Amino acid sequence: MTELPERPDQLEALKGLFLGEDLERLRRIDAEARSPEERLRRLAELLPLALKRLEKRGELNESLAPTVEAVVRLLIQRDSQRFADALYPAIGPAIRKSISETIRQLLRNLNQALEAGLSWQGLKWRFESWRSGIPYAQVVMLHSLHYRVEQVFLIHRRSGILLGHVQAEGVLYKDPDMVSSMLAAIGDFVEDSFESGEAGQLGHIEYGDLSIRIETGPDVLLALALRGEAPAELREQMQQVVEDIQRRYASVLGEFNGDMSVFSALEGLLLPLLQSKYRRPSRGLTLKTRLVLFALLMLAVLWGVNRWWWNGQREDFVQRLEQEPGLVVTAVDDDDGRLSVRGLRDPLARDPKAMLAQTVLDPDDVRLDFRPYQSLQQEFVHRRLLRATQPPQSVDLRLEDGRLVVEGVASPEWIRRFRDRAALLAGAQDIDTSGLVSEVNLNDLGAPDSVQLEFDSSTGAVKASGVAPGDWLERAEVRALLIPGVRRFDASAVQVLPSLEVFDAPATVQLELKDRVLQVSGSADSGWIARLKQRVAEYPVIRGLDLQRLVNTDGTKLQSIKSALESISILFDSALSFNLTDQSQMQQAADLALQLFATARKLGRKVTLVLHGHTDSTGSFEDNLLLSLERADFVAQQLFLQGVPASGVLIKGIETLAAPEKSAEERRHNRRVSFEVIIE
Amino acid sequence: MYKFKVCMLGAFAVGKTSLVQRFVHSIFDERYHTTLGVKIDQKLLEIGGTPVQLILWDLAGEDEFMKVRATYLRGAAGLILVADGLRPETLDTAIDLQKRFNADHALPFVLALNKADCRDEWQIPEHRLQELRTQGWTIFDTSALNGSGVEALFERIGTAMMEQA
Repeated sequence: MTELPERPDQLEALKGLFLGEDLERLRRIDAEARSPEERLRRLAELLPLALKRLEKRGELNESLAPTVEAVVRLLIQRDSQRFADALYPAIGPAIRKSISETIRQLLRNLNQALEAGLSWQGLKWRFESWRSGIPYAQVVMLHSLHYRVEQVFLIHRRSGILLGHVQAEGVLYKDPDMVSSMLAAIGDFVEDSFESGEAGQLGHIEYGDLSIRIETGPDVLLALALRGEAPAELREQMQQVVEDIQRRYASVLGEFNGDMSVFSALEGLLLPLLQSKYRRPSRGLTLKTRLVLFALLMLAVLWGVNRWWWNGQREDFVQRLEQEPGLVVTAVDDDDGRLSVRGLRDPLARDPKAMLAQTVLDPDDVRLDFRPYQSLQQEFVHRRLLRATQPPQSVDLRLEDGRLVVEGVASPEWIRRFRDRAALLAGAQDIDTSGLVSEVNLNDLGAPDSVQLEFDSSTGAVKASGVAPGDWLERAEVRALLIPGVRRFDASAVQVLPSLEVFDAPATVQLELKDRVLQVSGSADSGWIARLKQRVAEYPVIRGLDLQRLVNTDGTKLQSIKSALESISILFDSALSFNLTDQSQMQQAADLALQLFATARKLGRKVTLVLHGHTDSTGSFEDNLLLSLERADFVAQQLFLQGVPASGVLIKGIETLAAPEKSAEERRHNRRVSFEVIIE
Repeated sequence: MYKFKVCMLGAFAVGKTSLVQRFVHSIFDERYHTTLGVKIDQKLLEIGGTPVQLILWDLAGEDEFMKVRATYLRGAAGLILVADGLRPETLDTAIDLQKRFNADHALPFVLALNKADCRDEWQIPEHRLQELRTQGWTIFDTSALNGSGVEALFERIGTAMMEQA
């Protein structure tokens, strides 16, 4: 500003002239500008307007943010308790809500984890966790977040009138208009009954696995009936839908007059909420599908196990073929699912077909093609030799380092044949027959049954045992030494039967040795018989002498009968009766008399039996002669009664009177009949 | 298509529920009255060729122990007051309810004077009704027994609400 003139009043007048009313205004403005109170008053007037404008431009928040932040910091530093008190009404419920929600979620997850922990699903999830590296709990959670929104209600908040409704396919539902009103009523009821007062809203109704989520806008309620566990995003989505609807239908909703036509496009907004989210598509499989898949899996596993097992069986079989001596497996192929084995087989080896039959493999599934060859394995050379030469049991035929060793005893023919053939057989480079002994055929010796013959090939000795006739033995000794291979004949153990000639039998006698008993038949005199007995005793080998059928020609028997008979006296009790003192003497005499005549007849000899009657000395000679005759006759009659032939019997009486007896005993002895045998 | 929330109010045991029972579609049973204090029914009408759906909030009857919950009347587009022609005090209750919830006649309302079938025994003097009519009340003589007047009642309230819409 330029310097003002010195005269203020003039200047003032001038100003008044120029500016007029403006001067007064300028002065006022100046005064105001100079007065802090006035400025403050004006600012206070303008500030809210300015703030409002700034807010509209969105600049205020940004410019105020640092200041507000600094102020809040300052406040907290200065008196944090007071700040906390101030915030408590807002933060307290928020924290409580958050904590309870967190705990609820935690418990739910824990329950699910426990439930799933031991199940097949749990194992599957654990495997997934291990494979993907995601913690198990998280995997469980991921899987658990499946749910289905069954119905969506959009309800006019004040009246409870249903503005829009959509439902998932196949869901059974009741009249949604009434349900929505009832929901509103329930909300009212809660609000009313528990006097929540504030603009709180029913947010959640749970019933079993069904839950109703309610999101509230100024004019509408959005209610979702769902099953399962909805994710947190659903709530956000619901909020967005509510906001969207509030915005779009702001004009209608505020003054809702019951006209539904304006909400015709509402369904399009609600449909996206009708979600049935399965985080894992696989979890969406129905039980039936899962069972079918499981069955298929089991079939595949069974098929695999089965195939693996059969393959194992095939491998085993091939391995057995490979290990079998005399078989060489050259190729193993899979011929269209059939096992094909080719190779070589020694004819003496086990038949692969037989081996196949012992396995569980189906013979139709296995093709065996074995061509013949000769194995040079010792076992097979050996078996071929055995088959070709067919040695007797007494021959031991073995291979020792390619050398064929033959030992034992064999028939000369076999030995000859063996020598011819063995050289032609493959596999044995050298043949050792030093231990082979030609067999000795002892049958040529014609041994009787009572003789056992043994041949000791080591000593070349034939050992004979048993009982043998001497003449055979003599012949055998000579003939045995003529048999090839026999060097000695040992007859020390033979009991020699004598030649029958040694008994020097007369022509009337037949001798036979039977079971070491000498049987004699025919007739011979007692002199020879006595010599025979002596001779037989010299031979202990003869166990017995049978003379049953031999007749003694020189009548020793007759003599013995004669002497026996002649020693008998038939005594009479008294002089006048014919009562016999001893009846048995009579019987004995009769028996002997019968024998006498029978023997004589057999021998062709003539015998006469004379019966001498005797008396004691009492009485006359004539009387006594008569009496003696009578006595003799009495005995004769007795004999005849017994069958003694009368022709051979003579009776004689006393010729002289007996000398007087000295005792009664003597007298009694004289009262008798005696016998005399005359052999011609 | 129009949808209106209509509240049915009246004293205890005036026969609100039985009055409309035959004319409405219902999925909830009587127990809701004693538990929630309200039961929702539905009535479809056609007014001037426009389908109109009435969502009837059948509020539990009022007596000295139980008051109608005011919150249930929120957002209602019309009221049906019910009184028992044989019990004059129920008319008082209806009038009282009207005063409490619709003093300014903001909502269209009708009065159903029930038990028209026993009209001879009515205890309510005609002059009282006349008085109410002069105050703008629409009164229907209805009978739960024979259903007389009920359809007309619904029609009337529906028309009234449509006029306001």
